[in-house]
Amino acid sequence: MKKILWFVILLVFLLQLLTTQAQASLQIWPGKLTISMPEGYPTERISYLIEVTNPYTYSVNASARVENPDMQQLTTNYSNIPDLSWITVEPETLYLPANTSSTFKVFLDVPKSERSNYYNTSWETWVVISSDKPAGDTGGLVFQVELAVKLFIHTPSQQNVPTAGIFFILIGVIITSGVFYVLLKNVRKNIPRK
Amino acid sequence: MGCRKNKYNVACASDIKKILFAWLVSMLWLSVLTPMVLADETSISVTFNPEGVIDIDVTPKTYDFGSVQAGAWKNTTQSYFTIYNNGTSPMDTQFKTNATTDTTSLTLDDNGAPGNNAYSFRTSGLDNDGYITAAYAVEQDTGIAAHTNKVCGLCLNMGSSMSQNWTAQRTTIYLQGSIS
Repeated sequence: MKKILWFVILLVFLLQLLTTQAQASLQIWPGKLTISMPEGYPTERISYLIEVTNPYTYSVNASARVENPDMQQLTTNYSNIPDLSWITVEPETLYLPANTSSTFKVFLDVPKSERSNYYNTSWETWVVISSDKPAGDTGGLVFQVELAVKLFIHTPSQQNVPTAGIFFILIGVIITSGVFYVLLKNVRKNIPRK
Repeated sequence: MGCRKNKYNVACASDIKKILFAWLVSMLWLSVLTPMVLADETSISVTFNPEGVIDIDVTPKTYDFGSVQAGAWKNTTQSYFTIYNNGTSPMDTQFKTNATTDTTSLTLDDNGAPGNNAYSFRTSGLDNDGYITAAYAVEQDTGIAAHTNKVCGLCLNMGSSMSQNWTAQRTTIYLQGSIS
């Protein structure tokens, strides 16, 4: 019995040793987000939430910025987004009380005037999140941790022609033909017979 | 009601004009309305594929190099810093640092050849050790597996000359983590 007890104590000790989790910082989800628009550009801007968790026992402010990665860091077959202003994050700064979670909202809005230039394109851009956690007052060198959420954006393969649009065109053609037919019929009536 | 026949004698010229006018107006309306109808893309779906949790940290958060002579190197131990990946996916890490010290007395040289009143930082023990630049440029380490850590050190190279005996300087190194 004593042996088993010692074994259990040893096991608990070892487990605790092995699972002593490393240092924690802000936790972000997702770390990678792929956005695809297989049916065409939507009329409204695209939005998605990034969840940020503060594991500390004190409150922190988390801030977000959008950056294109360096060319050397780009994933193969991806290019930088042509204009960073097409992606916005709200709010810019997020107040996180101790042990709480909150969300940044990422918006993607490719201007209508630019859409025709960017079909079948793959972009990569990063949303970088950092906190104002104090690193300490001592030391000549201070480390600041930042977390980058990778955004992969696949633009539509071609201009979308919605079914509703085709239906309305057909209706228009039928009405036009009808008007044309009626007018032609009236003309025939007015033609003096020999 | 008079009807002025045209040269083909099939209809009144005025009627044909009316028909053509009506057809033209209809086509104009159609051409105006078509793009408006086509632009109606409310039913278009967007797919999202989110992956992985990022949670990365480094300890200790500070280091004091103490007094360093001009033109000399001063290093931490090879395993002084530990980078932790507590996320759910392999992680890449990269470093950058401020372009000057907080007092702006000393300037960063990111090529490893610091001159007067300058300094350089270099990583050691990582996959792609190199000088730390003022902007993120390369991944110093790639693919730290989830729930593991990696140790590294830092080397400080003081400029070849100093215009004066500077008081204590302080700067920040940024460590960025992203999913591989």
